[in-house]
Amino acid sequence: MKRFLFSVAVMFLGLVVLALPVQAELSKEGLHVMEGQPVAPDFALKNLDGEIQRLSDFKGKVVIVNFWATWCPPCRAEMPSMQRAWNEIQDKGVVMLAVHVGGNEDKIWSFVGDYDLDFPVLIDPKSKVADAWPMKGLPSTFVIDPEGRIVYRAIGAREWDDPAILNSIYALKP
Amino acid sequence: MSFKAIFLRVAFLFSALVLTSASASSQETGLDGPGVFRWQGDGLRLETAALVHDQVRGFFIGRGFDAKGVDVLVNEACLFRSAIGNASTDPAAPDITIDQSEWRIFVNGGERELRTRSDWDPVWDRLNVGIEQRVAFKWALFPPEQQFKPTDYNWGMLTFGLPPGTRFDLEVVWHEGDHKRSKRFEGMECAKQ
Repeated sequence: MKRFLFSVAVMFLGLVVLALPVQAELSKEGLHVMEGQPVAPDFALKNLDGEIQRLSDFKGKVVIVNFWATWCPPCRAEMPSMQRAWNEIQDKGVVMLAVHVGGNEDKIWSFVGDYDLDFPVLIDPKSKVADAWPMKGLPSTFVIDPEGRIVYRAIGAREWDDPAILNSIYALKP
Repeated sequence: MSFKAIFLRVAFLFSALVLTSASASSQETGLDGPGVFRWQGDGLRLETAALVHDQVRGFFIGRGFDAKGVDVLVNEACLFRSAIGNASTDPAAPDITIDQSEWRIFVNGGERELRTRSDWDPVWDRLNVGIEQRVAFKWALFPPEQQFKPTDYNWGMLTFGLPPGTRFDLEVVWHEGDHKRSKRFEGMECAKQ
């Protein structure tokens, strides 16, 4: 019983640490034009089913690439809005890829189940992809145009199903 | 109801209380609540507070750190949680740029720099900390440099590299467009043992 209590206490304290830092703010604004609009670095990462997915597989489509982690408070805060956005965009030819920075598939699976997410989640176990992209913190999100250029970026959580944000994304479609 | 179920329910309720109290005291300036520094001005918005040792242990054990690694963090890191970003939602507002190498810690009559991500690499080398733990540590720390457009912000931990219980002042420096700004936060304190 003591071991159980200790385990629960450690897990709980970890959650409190994560919960405190951020007032869960989701901005409806803030898709910023990416300076220079560089070509998005390609990647090949496993999804939760162990299948390799490449960014270049989606050339010709608008792609939202979100970098996140289960233990990052603003990442957690924006996930429900990402799922709602996914419900809107998946039939409109827009792709969403959520790249988890760091490994631990069990925790990612658990998180995806708890939040009822069904958009593609990829795993960047050693942060090699995150290190190659123009980002410095989590969450960071990029919108890629059909030519493979990074057109927009957002640092911090957003309300992804906000019509203004979705309209900016739809406007990139060919 | 089993003891386990009761314990989990109590833990959940306490967690909800913590979250409620944390979100109820926003948009104020200066010291706001025990050990919480909130400030907004000259385009910057900042919130920071010391992490107590059990919080540090809980978080990093959860990320796979062993006892040695966690002990180093507890005894040497002086970790503060933080959320820092551009206070403006006006798209025409200037960018906010920070570079932690410009920040200064004033302690015991002297001044020093913060410890940032790369400063910890030799420590993790010495302790043979694995790649998974290093990745979590790197991304859990606040970025050493960042440019924030309006509405942008980052979350992350600041490491001051001071012993537990140390009192210090922190000078935060940022650039609001072309204008260099600073603010000194007095009476900050690392978590005690």
